Amino acid sequence: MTQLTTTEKKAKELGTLDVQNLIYKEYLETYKLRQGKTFDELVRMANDPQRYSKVLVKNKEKI
Amino acid sequence: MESPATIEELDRLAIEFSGTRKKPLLILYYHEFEGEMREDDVEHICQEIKRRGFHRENKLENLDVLLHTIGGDPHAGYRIAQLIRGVTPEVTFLIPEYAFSAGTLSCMCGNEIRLGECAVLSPFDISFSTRRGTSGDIELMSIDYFKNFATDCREQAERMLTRLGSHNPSKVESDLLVEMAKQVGTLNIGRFYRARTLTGYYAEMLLLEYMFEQMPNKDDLSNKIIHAFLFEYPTHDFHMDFHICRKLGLPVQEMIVDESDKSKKLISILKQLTALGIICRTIRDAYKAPFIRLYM
Repeated sequence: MTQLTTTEKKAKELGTLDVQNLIYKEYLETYKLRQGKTFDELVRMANDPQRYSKVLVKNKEKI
Repeated sequence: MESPATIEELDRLAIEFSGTRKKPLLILYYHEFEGEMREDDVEHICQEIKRRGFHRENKLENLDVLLHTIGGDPHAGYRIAQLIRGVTPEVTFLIPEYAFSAGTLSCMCGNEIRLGECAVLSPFDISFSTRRGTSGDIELMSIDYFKNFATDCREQAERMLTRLGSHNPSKVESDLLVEMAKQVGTLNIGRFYRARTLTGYYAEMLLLEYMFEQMPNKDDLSNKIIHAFLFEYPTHDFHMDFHICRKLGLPVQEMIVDESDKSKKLISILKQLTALGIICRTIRDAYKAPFIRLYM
């Protein structure tokens, strides 16, 4: 609880530039994940039935 | 010579502005044609509000949202609006210069929209392109107008044929429409119409749930506004100033001169800081991160 409060306090005290750098870093990471792929390719990847069936199997294994 | 803008100067002005208005201030700044509203922004705005200690269960009493954008994804515009309303029961949108398209859509969740001197909103028509602002943009309104043009052409051709004694129908309209479908692509046309229905739906949700929630004639008002935004204005980049917005029935106010000057000064500093590479840094070619900050 104390640790959570400290983290929250620290986040609250982040300066404008710190926040912008944090946001920029996260945008950049997301962009890198998608880099070189068109929107259609990303949608195809997400909806690939083979990929989906693998996820389904994994989920069943977990249960 | 004026000294270059600094983050400290931005913070000082923003806090001063927020103090004058006696409300917290959320700045959402998208840099000209290199910044556009995207769904990714929703999470970052949510995080910034949370960092400052507010969320759905610990709401802000009220909030000013200073918005500067050329627009972007209508899904983003709608979700940002819902996110903002989720953390406060009272929102005022401050538009120092412009909030176009998806930005205008976001404003539809406000209790009030305050426009700076000469500030404008725009219709939220649908346009698709690989890069915003390029001549390759196709607007749904252009398709509507082309359809009207094709009908006019047929009517004129048939009038001429009647004068010459012929009663055969002219096929100029279908020829023109076939040519348009070839150029734009039939599936694209379908996508445009679907997206327009979707944008209309989003706008209706925001207007009924928030902007006109307390109005007895909220259905009529929102229908009138949605129809105007989607169908009546001549182009996507039609500029809707205070007078047009007020005539339409939107709850707009003109900022007083001092307020307008200060809000424009904030935008000017944000532009300078972007040019200096301090904020809104480039993520990829022609796309910069937005500036998101909640000042208390």
